[in-house]
Amino acid sequence: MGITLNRVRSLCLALPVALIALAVVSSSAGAQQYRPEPQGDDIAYLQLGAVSELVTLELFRSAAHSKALGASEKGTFKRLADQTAKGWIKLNSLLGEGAISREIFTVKIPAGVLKSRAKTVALATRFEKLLAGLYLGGVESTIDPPTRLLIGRHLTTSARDLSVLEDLRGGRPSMLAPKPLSVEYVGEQFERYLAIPGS
Amino acid sequence: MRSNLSRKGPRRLVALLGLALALCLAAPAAASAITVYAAASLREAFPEMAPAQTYNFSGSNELALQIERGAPADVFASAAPEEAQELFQKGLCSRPVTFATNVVVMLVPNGNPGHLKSVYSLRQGGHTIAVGIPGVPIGGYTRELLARMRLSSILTNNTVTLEKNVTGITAKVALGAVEAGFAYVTDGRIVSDRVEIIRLPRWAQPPVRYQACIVHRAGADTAGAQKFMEVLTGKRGRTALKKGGFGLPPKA
Repeated sequence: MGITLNRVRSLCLALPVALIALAVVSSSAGAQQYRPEPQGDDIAYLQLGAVSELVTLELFRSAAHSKALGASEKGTFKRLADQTAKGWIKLNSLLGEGAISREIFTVKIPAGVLKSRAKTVALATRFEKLLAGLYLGGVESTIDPPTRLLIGRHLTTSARDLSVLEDLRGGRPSMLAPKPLSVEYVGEQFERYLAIPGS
Repeated sequence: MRSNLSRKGPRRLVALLGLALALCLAAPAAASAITVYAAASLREAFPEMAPAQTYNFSGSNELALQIERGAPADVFASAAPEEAQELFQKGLCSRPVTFATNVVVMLVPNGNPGHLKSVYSLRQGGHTIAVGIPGVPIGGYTRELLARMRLSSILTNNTVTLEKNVTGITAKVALGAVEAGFAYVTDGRIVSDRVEIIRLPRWAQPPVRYQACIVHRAGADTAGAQKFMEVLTGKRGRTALKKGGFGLPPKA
């Protein structure tokens, strides 16, 4: 059941997004030394990014223990989970008093998904595509340059994770960059996996 | 006759003992009546939980200011951590304890005269809405939630009425003076016969945490305040809060 990562194919998948992210990083290079200070509605991308990363993290962690996956695939999901956890902590730390905690949200991944290898990989790919689309929208719309740079970095990470997941899925490589997605659309997609305790 | 008396004797004794017990129970309650300054959104839940206390319900920021100026409060219960934490930092109250959570919703009058299907309907502008002032918790939470949804523009596209506390917002909506208002779900439940509740996305909800602390001042009833805090975080308090629609933090 071992999955060998096709590096060339992964590169093809990640290339378009990596180029966009590179453009963002270089255009915001001067902002590198400054801490992100989101202006106006910039916060939307950081906050929804944190929520979405948390949901994705829960799926990756659950997948790393799923009986439907082989040892190598579980290892891949564990690495993805570790990487996502780092990203989530970074985003969440910027939210200050509004930081997300499990006391506010509980994440519910349908048990049926985790019983099937195909469903697990498909949902993980879907989440990562949504994240990449959200960050791409953020790169286009945020006002504060350090915030844009940070979102650009998350876009790079999402593109890389997406290429790993596409490879697991056995999908065809695509040279098309993901489409930027609105906060409203991405929020609606992740909403169904959230519950507020006690409500 | 004698046998009749002997039968009535134990009954009278039981009645007298009952009366004495009732008096004993009532006496400490009256003695420990304290003054609680609490967020307006707690106006139904608190009296139900502890009816014998004296309450002052208003905007949390206003109450905190009054306490700073020496108002005779024994307990302060705020709808946001900032106010209680600030008093704690200044040495004016004990370390605040989180006792409840809440969620922000959009209220519309019965019949929904503005034909608002969701909060996104306000993007087009031209509606009348009631919102809390920025300094009051509900005002801050509303602005935070709208920014998270990239909808801050609805505060400029529509005619906005600013209210000093959440009671003002629910009253405006319930009376039909505005087409929508942003309040806590618990407030919507209180006037549910006159308003409709439109839920806002879970992902955009700010963390609404209620915190309470014991006020430090000369002449404060610290023992009574401590008892109130125990009730608030105990079974009776959690039951009353849950009944009112509040969320509960994990048990300490």
